[in-house]
Amino acid sequence: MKLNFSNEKDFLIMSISGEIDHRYAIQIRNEADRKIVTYPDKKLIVDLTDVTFMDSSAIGVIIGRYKLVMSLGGSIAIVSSNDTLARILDMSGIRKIIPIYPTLADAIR
Amino acid sequence: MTKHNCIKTSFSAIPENESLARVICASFISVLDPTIEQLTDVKTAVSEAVTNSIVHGYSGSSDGTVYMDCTIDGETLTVEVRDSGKGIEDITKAMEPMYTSCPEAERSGMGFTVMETFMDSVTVSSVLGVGTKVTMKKIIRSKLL
Repeated sequence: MKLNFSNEKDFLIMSISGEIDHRYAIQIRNEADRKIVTYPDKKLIVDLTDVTFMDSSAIGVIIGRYKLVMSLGGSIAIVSSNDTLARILDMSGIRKIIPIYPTLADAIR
Repeated sequence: MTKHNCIKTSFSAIPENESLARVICASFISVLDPTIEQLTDVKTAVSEAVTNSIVHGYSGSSDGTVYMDCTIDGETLTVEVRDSGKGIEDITKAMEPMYTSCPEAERSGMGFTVMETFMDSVTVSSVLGVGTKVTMKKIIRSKLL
């Protein structure tokens, strides 16, 4: 798993690549929260474009970041067009609370 | 086509072995020529079961051992994940969607729901202080058929 943070417009973009399971969810949570609390605009985009596998640990960490940014008056969006991830994103019901865009450009627009 | 095959594995209850368990099971079922979706389903269910043993069964202690046995009988894959951890007090409650005994750890409470959704059947047996066994079955029909 690799984690990268970047800024575009007023968005904080957290790009994750590789596999997200319980082991890496802890690392993502810790690094994300450090960035979020210091970033002026609490507008987070979680880019899953290069994620090859995720289990419910990833859902837990995304919902945790959703709760954090919303409590700070911010917003969150997900980028994913991966069929492999679609099933677990769909069954989790996460689409009902977090918008999912097919590309990063769509999320920033 | 393989009619019957089985492997028996055991590994330390540490998070690093969650991906190992997925790879072992995915490699084992490759002879059934699964689709990408079937492969992802099995890997995800295995990941959930092994993570449960590590996080809940052993409460994160690295001293425990997780056992994963995989069996192929015709087109049916059976994966049994066992631990000798603390056991589950109320299996029905544990299997409720969104229930987690570790909300502070941001567990989504979806582990058993994922297993039940991605596999054809899931059965759980547990004895407090003795351990937990999760048995999952899935029919893998070759994509070539």
